[in-house]
Amino acid sequence: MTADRGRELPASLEAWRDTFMTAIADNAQSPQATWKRRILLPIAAIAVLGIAGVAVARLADNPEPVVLQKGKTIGYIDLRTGEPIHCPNGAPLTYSPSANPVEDDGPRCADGSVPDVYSSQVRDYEQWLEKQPAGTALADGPTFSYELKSGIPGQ
Amino acid sequence: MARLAQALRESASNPEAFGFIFDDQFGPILDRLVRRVFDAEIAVDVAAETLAEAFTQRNRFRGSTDAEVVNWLNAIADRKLARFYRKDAVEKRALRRLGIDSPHLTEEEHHEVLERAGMAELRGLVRSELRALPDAQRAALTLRVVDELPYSQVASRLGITEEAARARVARALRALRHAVRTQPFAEETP
Repeated sequence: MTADRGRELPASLEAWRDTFMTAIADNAQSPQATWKRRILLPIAAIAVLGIAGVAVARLADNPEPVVLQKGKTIGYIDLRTGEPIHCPNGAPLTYSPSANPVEDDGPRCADGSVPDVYSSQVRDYEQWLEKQPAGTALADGPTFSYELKSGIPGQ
Repeated sequence: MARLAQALRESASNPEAFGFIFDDQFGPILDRLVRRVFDAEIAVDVAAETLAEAFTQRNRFRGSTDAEVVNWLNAIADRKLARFYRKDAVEKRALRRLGIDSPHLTEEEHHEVLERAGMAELRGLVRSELRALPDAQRAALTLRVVDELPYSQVASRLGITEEAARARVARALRALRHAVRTQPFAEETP
């Protein structure tokens, strides 16, 4: 620890430390903060409990589980079996594209692994893609992803 | 000795103890953010908001080791960064709650922040890794990222389908990301 000791921050950041420390001291002592905590937190808690109650009631009325967001999360089919590709923990392999493509690592299981069947199918698909000339309509090409709408097939 | 964890616990009743967290962690958080967003100003804003959020949420920390404190801080920073990517603006809610703004850097300090995060080495590494990519991937990545062409144009320039262009760029980015992440300066772990 103390990894950063000896490596000075630029002067503006060193000066900002004082601003920050003064602000947190004021915040901790602020009677307004205490007042807000006493009055607003119970109100917020009541509101949250109310919303949670409504959500639970709706779930009870409609048992269909809405697992993932439509149009954002996709899953993958094992082309040999026609079933969803699963992770070692039994959960289906899913993927939600990141807003930042540089950070985007593709689908991964919770333990960080990528199922072999997914990797080999992607490799085959990319090799097929490379052989298609520009302008080819890909709608008829191979595909093994599916959009999750209201639950996961096979579950 | 879990000095960070102890300081965080102490700061619940004595805000001054949080100074130790600031001194020890502001720099590493900032460096880590710079290496992810490649922009000193955004990184400073997110780092400042992270520390402000950590202070306002300090009573929620349940760990007992320094590594857990570092992971907790990094998780806050990652959340803030994810929100930045979604909204294209740095959230400053915790800073506003404290009644302060994030620090402002001079032009010179801007370069200093990039330098201390190892951006020069990172640039050199990316340059050499870019050269090592297969020609087809390098061409696609250059057209898409450097020339900022839409995928349809990348595809027509390379005479391939748009999907193939996307796949080439994704593979190239994956290779670069792997190279960057396996460098010793890429991530400082506790």
